[in-house]
Amino acid sequence: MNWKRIFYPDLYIALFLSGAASAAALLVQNEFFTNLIIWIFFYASLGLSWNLIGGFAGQLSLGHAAFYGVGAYTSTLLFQHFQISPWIGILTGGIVACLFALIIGFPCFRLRGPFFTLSTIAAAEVLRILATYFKDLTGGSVGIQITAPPSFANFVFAGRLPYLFIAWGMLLVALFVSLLIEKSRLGSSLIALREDPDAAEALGIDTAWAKMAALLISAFFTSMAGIFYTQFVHFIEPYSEFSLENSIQFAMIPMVGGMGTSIGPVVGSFILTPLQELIRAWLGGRFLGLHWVAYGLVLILVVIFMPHGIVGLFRNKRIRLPERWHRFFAPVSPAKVSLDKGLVSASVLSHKGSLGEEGILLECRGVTKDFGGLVALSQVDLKIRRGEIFGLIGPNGAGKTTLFHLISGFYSPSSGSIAFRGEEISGLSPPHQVCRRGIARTFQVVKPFGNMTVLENVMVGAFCRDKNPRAAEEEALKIIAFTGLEDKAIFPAHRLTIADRKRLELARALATKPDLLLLDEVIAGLNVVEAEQVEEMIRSIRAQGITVFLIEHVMQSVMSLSDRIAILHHGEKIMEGRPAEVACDPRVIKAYLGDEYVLASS
Amino acid sequence: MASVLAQLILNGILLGGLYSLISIGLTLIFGVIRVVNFAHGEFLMLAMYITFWLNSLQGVDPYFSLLLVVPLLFLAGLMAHRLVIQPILGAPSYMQIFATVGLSLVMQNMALFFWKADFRSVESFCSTTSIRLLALICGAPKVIAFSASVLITFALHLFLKETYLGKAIRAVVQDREAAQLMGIDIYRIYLVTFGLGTACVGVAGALMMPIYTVFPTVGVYFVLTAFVVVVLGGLGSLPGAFLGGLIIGVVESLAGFFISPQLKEAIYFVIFLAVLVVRPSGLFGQIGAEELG
Amino acid sequence: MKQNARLISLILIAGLWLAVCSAHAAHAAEPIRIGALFPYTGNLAKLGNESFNGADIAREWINRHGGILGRQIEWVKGDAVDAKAAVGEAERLITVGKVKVIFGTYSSSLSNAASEVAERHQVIYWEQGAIADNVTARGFQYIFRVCPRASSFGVMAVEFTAQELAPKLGFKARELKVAIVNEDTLYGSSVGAAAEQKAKELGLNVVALEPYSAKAVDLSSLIMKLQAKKPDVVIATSYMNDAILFWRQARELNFNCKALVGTGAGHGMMDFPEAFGKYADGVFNVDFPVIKDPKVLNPKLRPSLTEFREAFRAKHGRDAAVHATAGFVGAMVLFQDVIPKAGSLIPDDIRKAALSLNIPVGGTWQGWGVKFAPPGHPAAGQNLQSFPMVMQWQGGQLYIVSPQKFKEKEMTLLPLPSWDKR
Repeated sequence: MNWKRIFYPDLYIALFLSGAASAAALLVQNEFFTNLIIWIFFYASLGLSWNLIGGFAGQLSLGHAAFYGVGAYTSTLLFQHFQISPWIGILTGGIVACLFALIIGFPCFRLRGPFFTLSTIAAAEVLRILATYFKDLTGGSVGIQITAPPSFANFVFAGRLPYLFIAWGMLLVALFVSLLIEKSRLGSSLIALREDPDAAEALGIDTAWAKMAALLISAFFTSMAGIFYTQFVHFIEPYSEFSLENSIQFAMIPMVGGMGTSIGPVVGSFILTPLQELIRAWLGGRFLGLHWVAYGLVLILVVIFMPHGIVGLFRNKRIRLPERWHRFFAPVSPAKVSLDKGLVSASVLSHKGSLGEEGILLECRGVTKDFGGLVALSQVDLKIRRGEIFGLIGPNGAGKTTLFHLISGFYSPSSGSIAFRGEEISGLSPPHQVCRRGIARTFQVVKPFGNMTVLENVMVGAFCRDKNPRAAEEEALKIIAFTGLEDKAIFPAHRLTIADRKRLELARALATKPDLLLLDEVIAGLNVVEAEQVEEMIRSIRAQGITVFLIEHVMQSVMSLSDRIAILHHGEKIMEGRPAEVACDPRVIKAYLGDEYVLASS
Repeated sequence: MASVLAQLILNGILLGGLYSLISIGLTLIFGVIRVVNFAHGEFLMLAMYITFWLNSLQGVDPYFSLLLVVPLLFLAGLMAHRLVIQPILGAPSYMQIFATVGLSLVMQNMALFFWKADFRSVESFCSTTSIRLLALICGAPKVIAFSASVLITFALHLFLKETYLGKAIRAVVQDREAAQLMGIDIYRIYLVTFGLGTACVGVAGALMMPIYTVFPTVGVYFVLTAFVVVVLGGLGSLPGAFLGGLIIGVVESLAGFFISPQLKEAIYFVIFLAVLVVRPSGLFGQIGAEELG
Repeated sequence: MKQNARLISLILIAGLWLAVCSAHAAHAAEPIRIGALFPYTGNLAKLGNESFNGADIAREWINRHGGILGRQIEWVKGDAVDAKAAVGEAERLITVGKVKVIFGTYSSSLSNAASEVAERHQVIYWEQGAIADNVTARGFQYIFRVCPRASSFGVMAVEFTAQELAPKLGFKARELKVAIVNEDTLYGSSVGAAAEQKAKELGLNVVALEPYSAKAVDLSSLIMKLQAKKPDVVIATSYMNDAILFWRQARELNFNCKALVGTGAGHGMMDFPEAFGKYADGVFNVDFPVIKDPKVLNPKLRPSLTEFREAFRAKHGRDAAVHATAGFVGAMVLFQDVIPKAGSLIPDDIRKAALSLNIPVGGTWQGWGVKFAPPGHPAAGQNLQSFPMVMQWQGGQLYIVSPQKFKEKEMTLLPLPSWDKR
């Protein structure tokens, strides 16, 4: 692992900021200031924890106070009853918090968007009410006072400086973990599922597992911060632990700083925490409530003018360091080197499809799909042989994409079966299972991961087979060169033209090293030159042993590419055969053009 | 025992009527614009304060002040939408919540600044009237609020079904993009819906003043419950909001009696979570509507 | 265009940040600066502000009469909207505001949190209104609480019920059916627990013990639970909103009890009779007393009770109720008796002066004496000569009905007439 690359520039910025802050605290020797720095570090680490699930995975949780409180109560109760040191409490509290994460995540993750958010709020509220109710266990609203004498083992200190260093440590650990995740396969999975969960599944990402993994880690670190807080204020009671205000605060830090990056929450805390304290200090005494009005206005303004947070403002204008520093701190990625030097050859994929005996790769038998009255597919039989290019055509609404959805695991057939390599896959769900068995697909309406670069997009696919980021990157580069996207490898995907997006879609699917590639209208919308290039690519893909099953409307391409073609009309397969046969068949002509033309051609 | 149960259910239904009143506006707003508006409770607070001041300064009975409160809240909604909600529509959905949190803070504390923290109530001509049905009792203001809730649900339902604007609103709830393609100006629809939603909250506020007291943070007490009701009933569904409110009211009443007054909120939150797991679109919502529109 | 807007807002925010930082330059303190830590905003704002307003009358009076030690008193305010803010504000008041005394806080959970900070810095924490017992049960050296504790509220409510209500209602104490309901934060839980314990001690028949959430929008199920148990006396510990809600819904559901004994907060505010008019009459309230007749007090009290009440009415347009008076008393003891005796603002001097105080009962505007428990006492810092009194709403005003020495009026409306007969 190239540590420098992982840490640049986020860790250096964070080290600089936090180091300067700690030094300032030591110099200034004012306790209010030291406390302020402690809170900055504290909220930064909470923000980083939240960011794992909220920023990377895009699951806006407003119930993180649940983990915060659960960890704090576990540790405090163990200390109170069994004199177990809170340092151990961090571990036990974290484990209990993870348990709760499993319990909460399981129902809540089935929901998306604001529904997920509301469900997390409900979960935390339930915990708060229960903590108040079971007062024999938790002390209820009366709370528990921590009266242990100061000592390291007790995690109680008389002065503030030990807390400062512990908080600093917490920040660095959280940042380290965040960076590791960000640049790893998990991070790639999380960002992909945030951008487009369906595309992520289709590329082999187990989105449920990825979300849960992120939540577990997030819960652990959030609970750690909760324990720190309790040991800092020496008091625990349900409202300060489980309140909705807490959850909102944890989320606000990365939101202002910039979600989805590791440095964002750190910057957010450095700006927001002192701002909050100081607005209250300045306005709090004078006009009743006006400091909250100011704070509320700041929130609104940030959302309107800086929707990607402060870091988002600087994203496109990276600060240039002097060249020497730049070379030390920003070692050039091997990717860039390889691309610059044209080291990646364009003609050879590293993956060879399962060449081998001729045989049926995919078989659909009697596949039927109805949506409560609307029959989309009816008794479709298909056999696709290894190594062939099989085309699927038909008028709009014929059910072609529905068939792809059935094969790739997005829908289950109402009846019939789909077998891949002899193995029954109909009803296999979620879709990532299908991808992992060797079927990759593109989508009719392209789904690029807009905020990731082209390289990162393709790496998502590569991660399906290679867990190591380095290996995945190398593989991705080869695919990029193969699909002719090397000039745009470091562009964010939302900047690509539609033609390039379709290529990207194809490249991403290829990166998963499939045996069967489902292409949904990759040529439609391209001009003649581009279409020819893609046709060449498809032939080349088949030459490497990958079977291709494609839906197309561009007749020229379908006819010239396919070995065999099937036609769907109103959900039924009306014909199958070689391109020449199909083109002349009266049923086909009738389906596409209507009765009059049948007469003309006969 | 049976009469206790009947009374509990009656209490629950009447309480539910209040929840429904508050949630009807929210289901429209949430269903159409898809922003989790944390400031919804603050509009309720605003309506209650306006009702109070009309009563306190001019002696207007809360039920008559409806005539003024509803248009005022409609305008307030238009303003809030134009100034705060519309500019943030382009932001990622996870950011929008914070803008509404900010709005909620601003509104609560401006109320605190201008009107102080005192608890204000009004007495209406029927505040102390009790209605008796056999062995059951209920307070007149609650019955009036319940009836209003029924009326409004019905009226809005007709509006959504029969008028062009109503159909446009329903179209946007179901599929934003398709609606735009049909020539509907979705920004105008958002604006009108927000105003309509806050006007409904205005009705709720005026009708709640004889029942409840107002203070700057009163909105906080209702906003979470309103969201639970809306999600339970199904986004954008008026009958859903109405019945969802009733269900929550009855659950709360029964849980408070048979289990514990302390736990009743927890009970309906758990039910809320259970419903979300089993049927995220809510009881009457359109399946799939719970995906971001 | 959006770029410019972004830049401008960034500059604005940065500017605000800088302005706020610089506005924080310490000023040389010529006046005496006393921290005033209260919940000025948020859910407890009402009573937080009330308490502060009472204390402020004290400050104004003292300043008008020469200040303390020849200097004017100035508040340094801190908004303790919740426990975490209380801690932060306390830190700020001490380390930036450089106060040596923090006055506050009305709410028990806020007081607990903030006083811990003060103790650590060896700054005096002068509590005037928070009643949870544990505020002065931690062995802290620098905290002083002028007002009585929750346990005395609960005990007095129960004793009053057993010793005075029961006979007047024609029952023996053990025959009386008592229900104890309380809101479930620290305040309500403390009083409720104390009441429960005393009731057990006296052998009362407690038929219901129901905590509830103060944020409840509806208490009808609580009322129905009580109706099923048919208590004679209900002892209730509520904040404002739930006190009003409870009584309203009791009326609505025709829940009749023979007496309602409130224990502070909600049942002691003018908002209660304002909300209910004549229906508030007859309700008891065990609370810091609001004495109206200066004759029961030390005649040498300056300002006189009447002066204080008039000054408050002039400034705020209504009478000082329980919390405002408590704020006034707490502040006056500090400003008039303690600091001048200490002769300086050094916390240790103030400590000594406070511990040496021995004001007999009747010597403060609430009828209390002042004698703080010494270090080593389980409730070190608690004013052992403070006590709640039992009052009753009559004609929209609170009148003391017990103890005998301070009684202003006789009890009426006992038992309470049922709702339909009012």
